[in-house]
Amino acid sequence: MEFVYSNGNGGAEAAFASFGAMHTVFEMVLVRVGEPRARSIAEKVRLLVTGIEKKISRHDPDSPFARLCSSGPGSPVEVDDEVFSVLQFCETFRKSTAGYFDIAVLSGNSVRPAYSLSPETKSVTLSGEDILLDAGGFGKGYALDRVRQLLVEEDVKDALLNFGDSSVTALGSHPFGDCWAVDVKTGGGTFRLKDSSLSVSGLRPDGTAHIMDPVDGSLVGFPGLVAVQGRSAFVCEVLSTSLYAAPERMRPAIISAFDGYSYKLIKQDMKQWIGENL
Amino acid sequence: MGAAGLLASSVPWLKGCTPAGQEEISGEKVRIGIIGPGSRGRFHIDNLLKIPQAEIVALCDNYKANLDKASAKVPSARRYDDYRKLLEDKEVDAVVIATPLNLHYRMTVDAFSAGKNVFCEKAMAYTMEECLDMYRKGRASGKIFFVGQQRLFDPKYIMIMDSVRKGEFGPVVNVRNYWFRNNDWRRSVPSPDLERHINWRLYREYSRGLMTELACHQLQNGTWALGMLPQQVMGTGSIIYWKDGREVFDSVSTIYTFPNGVNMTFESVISNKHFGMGEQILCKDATIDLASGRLYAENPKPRSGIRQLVGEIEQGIFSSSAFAGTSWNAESASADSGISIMPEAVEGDGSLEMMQAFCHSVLTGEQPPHVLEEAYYGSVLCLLGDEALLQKKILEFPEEFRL
Repeated sequence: MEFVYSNGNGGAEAAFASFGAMHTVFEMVLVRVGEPRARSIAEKVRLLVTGIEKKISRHDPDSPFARLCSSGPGSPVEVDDEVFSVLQFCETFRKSTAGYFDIAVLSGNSVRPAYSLSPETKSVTLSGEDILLDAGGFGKGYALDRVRQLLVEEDVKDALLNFGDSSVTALGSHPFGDCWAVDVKTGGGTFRLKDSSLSVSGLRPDGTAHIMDPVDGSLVGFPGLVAVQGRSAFVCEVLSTSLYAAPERMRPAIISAFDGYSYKLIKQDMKQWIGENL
Repeated sequence: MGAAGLLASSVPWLKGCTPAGQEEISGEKVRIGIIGPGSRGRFHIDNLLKIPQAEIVALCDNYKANLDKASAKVPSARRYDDYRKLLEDKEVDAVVIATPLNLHYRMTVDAFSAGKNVFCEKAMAYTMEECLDMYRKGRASGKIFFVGQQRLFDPKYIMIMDSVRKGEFGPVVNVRNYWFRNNDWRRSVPSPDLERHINWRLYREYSRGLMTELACHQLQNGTWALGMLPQQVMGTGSIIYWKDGREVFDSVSTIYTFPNGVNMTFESVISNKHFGMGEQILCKDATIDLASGRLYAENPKPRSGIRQLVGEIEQGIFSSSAFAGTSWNAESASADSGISIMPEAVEGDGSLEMMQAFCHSVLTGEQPPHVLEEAYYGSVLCLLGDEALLQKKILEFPEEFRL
């Protein structure tokens, strides 16, 4: 883990910590926390995030997600409270986004719900063959919510958390501002975050598509970005993923079901580009 | 010049470009005749005019318009319309040959017979047999013989090839070369009877097309990086868009395979320019983009979007941070913006340094090691590739052309 500490500005000490997780990089800036405690908190955060990754990564054969994916239909798999709760949320979000948030989108099977939950036994049962559950559309946001909770318990008032550039959470504000101000690299304005989060979905920086449309199973090639702002990083990521995949006409209806969340479409208009260049 | 100085210790053929090398020949001059001062020939004239040890004393072209343009640059130079007359000029020490490809062999051989030192444009000659004969005659003459492969003098190529050869980026696993343009490759012709004379690159009698004009430079990258010759070549060529009477392909794709199985490709299309010119060496741990002069790690160190906030807070600065975007993934090709091969931008492509080295060699009488051999193989490989395209066969590298 990389750790940098600065007390060069009295009263506004800043710590930076960074480590790799979930195929990208987690990083955070903590303000007004003494160096030993900042180091200790950073280590706790690292353990928390990597612990979450171990639970929800389908690429780790020992993870509950991987065990679940290989279990086959009709075979209940017992999971811990956290995984059970995450799967409950995911199914709720699937329904409330008209199916455009779907952690089973990579499955070779279109049966939905893709799994059933048994609260009595805390077990999960897949609904059919060839079901693949993937945390790619929410994992970073979920982890950020858990980290924010940890920081609150540690009495950290001001911090900025960045998970792979696409999921951002702010606690309090910048020591010399009234918020944490974050810009999207490709333009689209400044997002002023204060005890709130931001999630951005779209084509990867190299232009490749990676988000699938759960309705027709195709990769979404929309050249613009969807940025969602709101309290929970988990919900923001769910919404940015689903709003990016959903047709434009459905987006207002989807966001209206989530109080306190707003989205911004950052369009890169191909027709305009054609008019200017061809 | 500075970069050349830094690199000269590892690359002996750069000696002539260093301050020490230039000092060796200060006050002396090479008297040079330019045979074929067309666009490329005049480019060399411009470089030679920057070199104190070069004096252009003669010009030769059977196309008066080009001769006049060259004379305007060097009014004092004697004018000839027959290269044999220029070769008889006792006041000429060295010739620069920048004529159509099919003339390189005859003119070079005649120049050696006349006791001249020779700088010949690439490709070396029209056939592999001619290349080999030129090489042998050049060496036997004891005269200096350069062929215009300027990448050998380009500091960024030299610096990176040194590291590649040392294995600093892991083994070379592939070499990709391409050159895409979107134009008809024609020059304007004042009179129809000059069509073949001016647009010689389009006709088989004079040229081997994209392979000799473009591939020749790029194929050198593979042999340089791998330190060996390809053992076979295959490919295909067609006239797909510019069906205007030309005889050479306007689209070619070739694959050269080295003894260790590594492939090197050369592709060229002149009806789409989107990807431009590219020369890439793919190693196990890094990718080298020679055209842009950048180096990309296979496993880049994690980058930071917000680390700079620490410094800003230290300075009491509050401003927005532009880092948010779509999910960055360690496997995403664009995640690593790479680094520049040279710490500072280097102007030019080695052409000036190549002429400096030529003048140095003529004045000292020392043929620098490797330069001619590298150029010879660059030419033989592009000609072998063109043969593969014409014969529609996989061709082995012929042992009789190995030096």
